[in-house]
Amino acid sequence: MIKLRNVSKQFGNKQIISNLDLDINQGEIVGLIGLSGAGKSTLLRIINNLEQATSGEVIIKDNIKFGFIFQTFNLVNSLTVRDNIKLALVNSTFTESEKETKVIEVLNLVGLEAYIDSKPKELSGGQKQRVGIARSLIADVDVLLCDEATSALDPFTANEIINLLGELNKKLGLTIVFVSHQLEIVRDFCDRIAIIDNGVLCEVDTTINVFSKPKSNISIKLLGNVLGFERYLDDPTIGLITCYSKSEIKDCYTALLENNVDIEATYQHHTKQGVFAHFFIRSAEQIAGYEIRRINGL
Amino acid sequence: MDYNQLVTALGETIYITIIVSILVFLLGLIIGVLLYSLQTKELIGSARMYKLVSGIVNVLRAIPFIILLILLMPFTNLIVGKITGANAAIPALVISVAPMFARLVENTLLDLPQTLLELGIVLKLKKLQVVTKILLKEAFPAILGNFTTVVIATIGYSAMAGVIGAGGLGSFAYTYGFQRNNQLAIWSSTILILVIVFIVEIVSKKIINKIDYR
Repeated sequence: MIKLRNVSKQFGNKQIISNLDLDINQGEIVGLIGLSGAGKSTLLRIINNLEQATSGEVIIKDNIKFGFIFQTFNLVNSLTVRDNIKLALVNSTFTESEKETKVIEVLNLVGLEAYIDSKPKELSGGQKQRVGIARSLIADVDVLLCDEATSALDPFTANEIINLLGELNKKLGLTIVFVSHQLEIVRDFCDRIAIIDNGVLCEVDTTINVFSKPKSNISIKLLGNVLGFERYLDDPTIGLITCYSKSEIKDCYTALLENNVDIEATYQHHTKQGVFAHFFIRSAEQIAGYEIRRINGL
Repeated sequence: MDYNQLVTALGETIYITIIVSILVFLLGLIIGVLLYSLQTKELIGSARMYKLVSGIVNVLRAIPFIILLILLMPFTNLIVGKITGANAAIPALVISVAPMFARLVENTLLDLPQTLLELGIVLKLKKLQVVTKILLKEAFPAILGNFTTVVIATIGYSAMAGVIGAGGLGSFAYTYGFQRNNQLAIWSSTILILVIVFIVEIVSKKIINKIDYR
């Protein structure tokens, strides 16, 4: 649906994105993660034509419509919810009554039909973001580009927005590109993750693979805190076993106990693709049936 | 003191203020939006044109009003047909105050978050629509607040213009108060000007409170 080929972007002498290749498929939720200034928002803006790539190609399937969800909601404060949403239809051929029907439809989808006449000042952060989502939906978009869409929200509200986006992904087949530094949200929400560092795409894989077997140093740095790696990164005596199902986790735990292996810590995670767990163990050279990786050798 | 003259002078000041304010609002808004658009690459984005328009605005703002009034006398004579009276003050007042308002409009628009401009682009609005349907709507309460300052400046300038024959309360205070040493004439025109300023401020504050959803 979206193919980025050898895309680079420079601002003056500063290289923001370097020779980046990425495919985004229809209906999937792709997370773009990286440190601040890594180039992920710029990449999103290139996809949406808010910025032009200095070189390379952005190949987009014909007639694809993009919606953009901003971190700061970006509502016009002097307009009502209705008029904010109608902004997306200014140049459409719909009649006023058709526009009104569509506004009610999208407000139903985001659960805000009772707030149609409210001004943004009267809404909470989560409600404002719902209006932002409704404003994108009314234009019948195919791809929703979310730039830190939940970063300005408290964890509870952020989850509500994520659930809403997840429902819209299922119900409308929306493709979602989700830039965020909230790794727990990315883990629970995205099908695939692309990790960007200094404008370079370091890793792109399914969420479970990125989280269970991070390959690049930047992945370990970024995900370390979530995965529990961080505490052991400099300890060569620590080994790691990763299990990919509930039964495997149970069997592994039993085996570790039977072999009197010291378990330093365990971390269990649920992703969209399933459950996995890390066992951090000390002083075990081998345990039958399980691959032990040394963390500093990841 | 001639009360009929005072009432006439009050009428002239109100007349000058209203006409000049309307013209300044329209002209200042257009020039302010132009200044903003010229330095915004997503709209017009022309550094050279910006320098030119900005330079003209700066020059007009820098000339002291009383000197501008004298400089513009031939121009005033050309379009108004005379160089004294209420109408004669209007061109100089507009040319002096509109650049000030234009700068305030420009700064108000520059203070808006850049993401609002991007919103217009994302929603595929035309450039003029981005300005009228998003930016000016969002900036309107602040623009109105700035406009109040400009209207009050206009009242002050109109009194100054009165001294060299433009009529109004300034002229009344000078002719009947200063030249004839009539304290009552000076104080009554001063109080009337203060009343006009207070009314402008109160009305403006009420309107801004009503429309301001920031």
